[in-house]
This record gives sequence, structure tokens and C-alpha cells, in this order.
Amino acid sequence: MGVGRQPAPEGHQAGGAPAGERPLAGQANPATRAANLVCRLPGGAILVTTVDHVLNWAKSSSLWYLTYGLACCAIEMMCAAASHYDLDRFGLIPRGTPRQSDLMLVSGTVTKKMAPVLRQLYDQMPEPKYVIAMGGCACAGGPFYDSYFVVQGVDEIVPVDIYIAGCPPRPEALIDGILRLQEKIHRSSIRGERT
Amino acid sequence: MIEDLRSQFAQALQSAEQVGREVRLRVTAPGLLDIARFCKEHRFTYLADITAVDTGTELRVVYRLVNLENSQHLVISVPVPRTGGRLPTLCRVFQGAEWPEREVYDLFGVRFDGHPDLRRILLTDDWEGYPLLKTAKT
Repeated sequence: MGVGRQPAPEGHQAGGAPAGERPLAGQANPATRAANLVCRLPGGAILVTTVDHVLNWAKSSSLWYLTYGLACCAIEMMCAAASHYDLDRFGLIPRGTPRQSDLMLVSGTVTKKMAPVLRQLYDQMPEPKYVIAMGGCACAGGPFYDSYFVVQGVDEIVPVDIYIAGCPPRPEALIDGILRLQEKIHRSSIRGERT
Repeated sequence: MIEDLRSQFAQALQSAEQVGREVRLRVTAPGLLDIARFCKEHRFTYLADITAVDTGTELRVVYRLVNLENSQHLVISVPVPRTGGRLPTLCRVFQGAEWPEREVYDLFGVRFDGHPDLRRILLTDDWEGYPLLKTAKT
């Protein structure tokens, strides 16, 4: 970080260390930093890990998804989100806006008129972002093969991480796809490559 | 009612028959507006749908009206040329005709004279051709 020692405002210091003596977070030596982290974790377990693991754990455990319901697959998505299948227990919470979404769950038939809108919403999502193509239509056009107005797979517009087959897929299949996405996130690294 | 139609619209009415509880009329384009108005005055107040069918030899625009008091249906079918077909709009009789007429224009290329806003409704504006015609390229 390279932050120089800054005078702290009066009254903002934690008790114990004299004012001006307490190091800023960026300056603390790694051992102190790790010790602080362990202390703050509930249960106080020893934390030995990599940055990748922590970040991947965070990314995969709170995949708030943009509910891109376009056809009958959306019914299954709603069913999966409701109390019986309960997507909340995987940390998946439905969002009505791309700004708060990590995952775009394209469930249904994408028409050519919808395509630019879908791309715009994808562009509005903050990184890291993932896309699941749910059902035959989103994967490859489905029964609308060679149609005059159906996009032959949402991967023509946005990069897709997980394809879920079915017409429509049952909620179990959707949950399986989400678990596969979580596995995929766990394999990724901040060094850049997505596997 | 069929007898009234026959006597009043001898020219425009090509045929009229009752199949079950459904009345089916074949009508020429110039008489469409008056016949639709007549049907509305005779309790067929609800325009359920407007569509078209291309049989390969002819194109027909189909209007489906419903009598909401006894659930009786009335089907008006009008032949139009397969290219450059024109019909009078029903927007002044049934306000709900605006979007279905746009759909028929969008997919079959039939133009509706007097329509307030005849644009494509399902396809993008730069689409060329009319996809539900038998002559359309796939």
C-alpha cells in the first residue's frame, strides 16, 4: 500500500495503544494481520489458507442472481427459489437489478429483440460475474432451431459458464448446475485464468 | 342474425354458416368495416383475436369476436392478396384491434388503412420480409 504514517484524529483510536503508535492495516506485519483475522472469526479456529481460497469461498457462497426468466424455464427457476427447494440455502438470492447481481440465470427463449437488452444487462453487472444458460432454448435455441427470430443459444451474446440441459430442467437440475458453478469458482484464481 | 346479415350485406357477404355454436362469415374487404360494426351492435362486443392464415394459395385475415353474454363465437374471414394486401382498420370499432393488427402486419405484411400506428410489433424494425408467409425464406 505504501501509506505513510498519518496523524489519526483524536478520539478515533482503539483503547490500549497510544495515539500514533497503532499501525494501519496496510502496514501491519503478516503475522499480526493473520492473528487479527483469526481473532475476529467466530469460534476462533486457526486460519491457514490462501487468498484464492478465501475469495473463491466468498464469491461462490453469495451468488446473487439476476432473474432472467423468459419462458417456462422461469417457472422452474421460481420453483427452485421457493421454500421447497430453497435456493437461499446456497447463498443465492434473487435480484431484480444487474447492479446487485453476480450471476445471470438465463432461463428461457432469447429472441433477437431481447438480445441487445440481455447484453446490456450483462454489461451492467459488476465483476466477477457468471452466466448460467438454463434449458434447451438458452443453450442452443431448443425447439426453435433455425427459427427466424430466436437466438440460437445465449452464448452468441454473452459468455456462458454452465449449460443446463432440459426442457425445462427440473429444480434439481438447476441446483446441480449451481453446485457445478460453485465448483468452477473454487477452481479459479485471482491470477486471472478461469478454468 | 345470419338472416339479417344476408339481407343487409348481400354484396359483401360471400358465405355464412353456423357450425355448432360458432358463426363463420366469409367477407370481402370492402364490406368488412360495416359487417364488424353490425356484429358489435348485435352483442359480439369482444374482439378476441386477429390473425391470418396463409394456405399457400390464398391469404385470409381472420377476426374472432365473442358474445360475452352467451359465450358464442363469431369468425370473420377476409381474403387479401398475398403481396400488398390492404384492409380497413377496425380500431374505430374495437379499440383493442390496434396491437393485433400490428401483429398481422408484422408477420404477414397486410397493411391496415387508417391504423394510428402501423409499425412492427414483435420483430425488430429493420427486419425484411414477413416470416409467416409461405414464401418467406427460413
